[in-house]
Amino acid sequence: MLLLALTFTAALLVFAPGQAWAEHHEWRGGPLAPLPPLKDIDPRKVVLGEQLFHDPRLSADNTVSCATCHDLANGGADGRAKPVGIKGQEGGINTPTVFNSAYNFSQFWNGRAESLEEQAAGPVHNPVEMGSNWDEVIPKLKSDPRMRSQFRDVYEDGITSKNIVDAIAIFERTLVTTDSPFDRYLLGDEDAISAEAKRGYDLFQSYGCTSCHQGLNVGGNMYQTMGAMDDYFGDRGDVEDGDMGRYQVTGRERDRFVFKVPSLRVVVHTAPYFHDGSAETLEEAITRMAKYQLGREMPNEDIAPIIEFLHSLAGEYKRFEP
Amino acid sequence: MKTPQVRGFQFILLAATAVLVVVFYFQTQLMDLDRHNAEAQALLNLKQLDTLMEEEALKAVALQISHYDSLAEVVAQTKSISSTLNDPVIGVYGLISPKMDKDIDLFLDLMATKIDLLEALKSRTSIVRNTLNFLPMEVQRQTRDRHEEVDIELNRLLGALLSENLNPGDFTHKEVLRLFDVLEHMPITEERRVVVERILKHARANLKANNDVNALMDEFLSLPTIRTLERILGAHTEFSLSRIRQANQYRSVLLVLSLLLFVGLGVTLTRLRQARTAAERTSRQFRDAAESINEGFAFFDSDGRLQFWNKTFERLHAGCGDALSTGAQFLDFFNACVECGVYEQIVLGKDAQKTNSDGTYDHPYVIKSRDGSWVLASDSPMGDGGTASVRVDITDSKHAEEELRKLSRAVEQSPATVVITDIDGTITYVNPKFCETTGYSPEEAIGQKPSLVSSGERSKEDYEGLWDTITAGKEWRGEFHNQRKDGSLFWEYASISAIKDEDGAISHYLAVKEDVTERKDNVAQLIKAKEEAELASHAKTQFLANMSHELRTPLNAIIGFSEIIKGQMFGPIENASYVEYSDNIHTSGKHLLDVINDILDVSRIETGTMEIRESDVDFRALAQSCLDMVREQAEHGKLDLTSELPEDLPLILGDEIRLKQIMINLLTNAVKFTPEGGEVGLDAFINDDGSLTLHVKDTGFGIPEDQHLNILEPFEQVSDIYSRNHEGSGLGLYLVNSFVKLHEGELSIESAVDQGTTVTVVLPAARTLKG
Repeated sequence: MLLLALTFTAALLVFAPGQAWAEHHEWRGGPLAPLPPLKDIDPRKVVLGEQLFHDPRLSADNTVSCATCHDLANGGADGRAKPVGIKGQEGGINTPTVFNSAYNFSQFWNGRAESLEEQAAGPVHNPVEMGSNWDEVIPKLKSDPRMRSQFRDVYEDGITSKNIVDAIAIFERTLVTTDSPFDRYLLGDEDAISAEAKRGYDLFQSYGCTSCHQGLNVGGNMYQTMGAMDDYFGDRGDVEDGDMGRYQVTGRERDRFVFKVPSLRVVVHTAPYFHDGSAETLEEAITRMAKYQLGREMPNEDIAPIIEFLHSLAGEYKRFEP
Repeated sequence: MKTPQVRGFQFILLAATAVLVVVFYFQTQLMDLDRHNAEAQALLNLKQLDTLMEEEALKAVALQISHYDSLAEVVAQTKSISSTLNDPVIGVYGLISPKMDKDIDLFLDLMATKIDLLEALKSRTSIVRNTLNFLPMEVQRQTRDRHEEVDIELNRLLGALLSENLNPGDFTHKEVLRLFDVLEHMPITEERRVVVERILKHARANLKANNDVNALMDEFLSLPTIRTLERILGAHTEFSLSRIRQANQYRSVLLVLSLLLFVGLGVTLTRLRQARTAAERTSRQFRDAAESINEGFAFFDSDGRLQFWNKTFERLHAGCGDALSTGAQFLDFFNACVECGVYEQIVLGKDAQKTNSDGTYDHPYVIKSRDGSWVLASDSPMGDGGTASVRVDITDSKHAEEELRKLSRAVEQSPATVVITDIDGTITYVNPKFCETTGYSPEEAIGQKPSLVSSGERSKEDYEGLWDTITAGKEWRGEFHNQRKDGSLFWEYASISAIKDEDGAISHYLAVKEDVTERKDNVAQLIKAKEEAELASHAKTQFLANMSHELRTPLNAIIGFSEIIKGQMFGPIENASYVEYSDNIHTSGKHLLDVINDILDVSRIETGTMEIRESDVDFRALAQSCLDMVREQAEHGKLDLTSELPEDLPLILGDEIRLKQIMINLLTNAVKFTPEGGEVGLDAFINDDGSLTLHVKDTGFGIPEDQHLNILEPFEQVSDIYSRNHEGSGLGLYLVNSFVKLHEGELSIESAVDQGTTVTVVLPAARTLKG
């Protein structure tokens, strides 16, 4: 019973800090908000999760780790239109960045995972990604004495699938790019970003980008139809399963071609863009977004400030130091 | 006292109550308040979140919020809390009722639908927002300062669309559709067509999105999540209340049961205290009683350990020291008592055997202690396996018993007749001598009066005198001429006296009687015989004394004158025959004088006037001189005279003359009765016990065995044959024996015909003087 009470209290606390932070730091009242600083992170789990994140034993042939696609030095993604998993197989959908994924309201393009923990298990089991399963992975990890002792130090029941994804998810919560110039600007530092970026922010709002890319993660908290104002897939052609979006999860007609609105926090580092990786550059992506999502044509003089603004969104990832 | 069954029932009752208390306690705990509160809190939070979600959704749809973070948070919280409802550990699912579970399922479905709708709302609202941002601006930009029909229609469309957005309705909707149609078909320039189509695209998107939002919102708001939640909450609360009511009922029962248990405990404790008090009192009484009794008492518990003993027991085992200590094992204690002599001797009764497993005797036994006391002991097993040891000091009664037995034996074996009567004179006891004397058996005599044996010679007055004397407590003595059972008469000398008890009152009378019949008969004769004998003896002694005097006087003349003649003192005698004759006269005279002296000695012995004059006598020198005296005679008879006299023969305390007479007599006899060529020997030695033995041996004719005693009598010689050939008065050996006796010695003869004779004289150690 005490356990339940604690769980409940903890559940309330999870949200309390963010809210409190947001309330006490009045930013410019716009659709965007600064990323909150990290809190209540177990450093031992971060260390363990970081190791697991880089551990290729999570894949069938010990060649692919989480970091293989989510390259922390490369914007937390692989820089490819479609990922390459074990045995050189190509995945069906563009790799989203792992940075700030903790602030996404769901995971994957179609939001099929509600949490980081749930997400972490996905690629392990995906045949074209890591192509493995826990029954294979756990014995491999258990045969490593150092891994065994590290797990035992942190988790009472040692190496289990639940503990593996827990550690990875906790590590991923530290993969945030706080203290970006734009956040500093939001918090009152007028000189944190350039005038061009400020103009970009104005354009970003006036074009209606913030109807979807809003909130502290500049996206990542809602779904939207790809091609809300124009027929994206009709123009592109070759509609595949990966293009079905949220329809794959709900099966509802209204969810066809609906994808999670991605966070734009580190978008400057994560080309190519869109779920199909079809936009090679930010310019192209912005142009296509304006066309298909806003039903507008955006002149180049408006695109450049927006790109400048997008650059200001990306804070630096600092390796977690407790 | 309660019977065991009743007490057992009480215990069962108490135990059952205790079990019920425990059961009811757990019944009151069925309601887990913490969990219940958490569940209720979760449900209330959900309700709050649901409301919040609707508020946020309405705000979002009304374009009142600039971002969805807060809405996403509400949804995340709602999902998180919803998922706890059917969590197996903390959820209410399956706990309360299937109906509620159904409601929970329903709520979860509704909430999932609602969240999906919300997501769709968010998407559509974004489109509405963007189109509403874009359209007025674009329409104004494109129609500014233009007044063509198309510009009018575009503004009209904008108005209708805004109206539709603000207040959706059939009319505005149809108007918007009509304007779409008008604008689509309006003949305008290609350049204007592009502008109009762009505006129419946004307008259509707006209309569609707005319609979607309205429809989605209707659906969103129509989902009965709150109602379902309220139903769940109601059921949950009702369930909780019923649980609480039930628990309260159990609590009441629990209270009653607890009170009952307390009362039961109180009663039990009171009883226990009473029982303990009673037990302590009993124990104290027992100890006091055990301490106060004169018997030794000790108690060994069921393990055989000594637990208690009283003072008497301690006194009786005072010699045992540490053996008497609390906790001592019975056998150790017993063996220690045997060891130290307190139990020097165990006297078991006939039936007693060491049968008990703990080594105790199963019958009382008697212990004799080294200090002479007697103890009657018993070690009885008790009901609970312990042993009660009782020791009774019976030393006094043992001594009294001894005394009594001695007295009883004295009376039983008395040579005198003993008769005991009660104070009425009825015989209560007669001893065996009575039966022997009177011929009556004890059975015949007991119960009778002493007159049973009366001959009736005594007068009534005599008996009255007797009774007067003994009833006065004095002793009566006198003779009775009584009658036996067979009618013969006998004399009894009786001593009759009273036996008094401790108070001095006469309890019995005792008659001790002696049969004096024979004595009475003999006395007269005896007196007469004695008088005669005394007279004769005296006469004889006197006569002999006179005789010896009268005989010795002429003998002295004969011996003296014959010696003168023989010695021719007054001139030679011509005829030698006279000399020879006078020698014969002298020899015969001397012999006669010896005989007379012997006779005088005998007479002195017989009249008891013989005395010995004691002095220290050199026995060896004396023996040598005696040997010298018979040597001539022995040589004359061609006898070998030998002697063996150790140098260390001691002095003898005795009469030298008589000792010399003893040896001379024995030697003379030996020489006299030993034929030529024989051997005569004398030897003497000291025995181990200090006495002196003297042997005189010869190889003569010997003495027949039947005459060994006779020759010790006066005037006896062995056979007439010898007398004739051998002179002698026959007094020699008698005198020798008498002298030996006067020296407290003993004489014995060992002899047989033709085997020689050995006379042995032993003088007692008291007569030999050491050194």
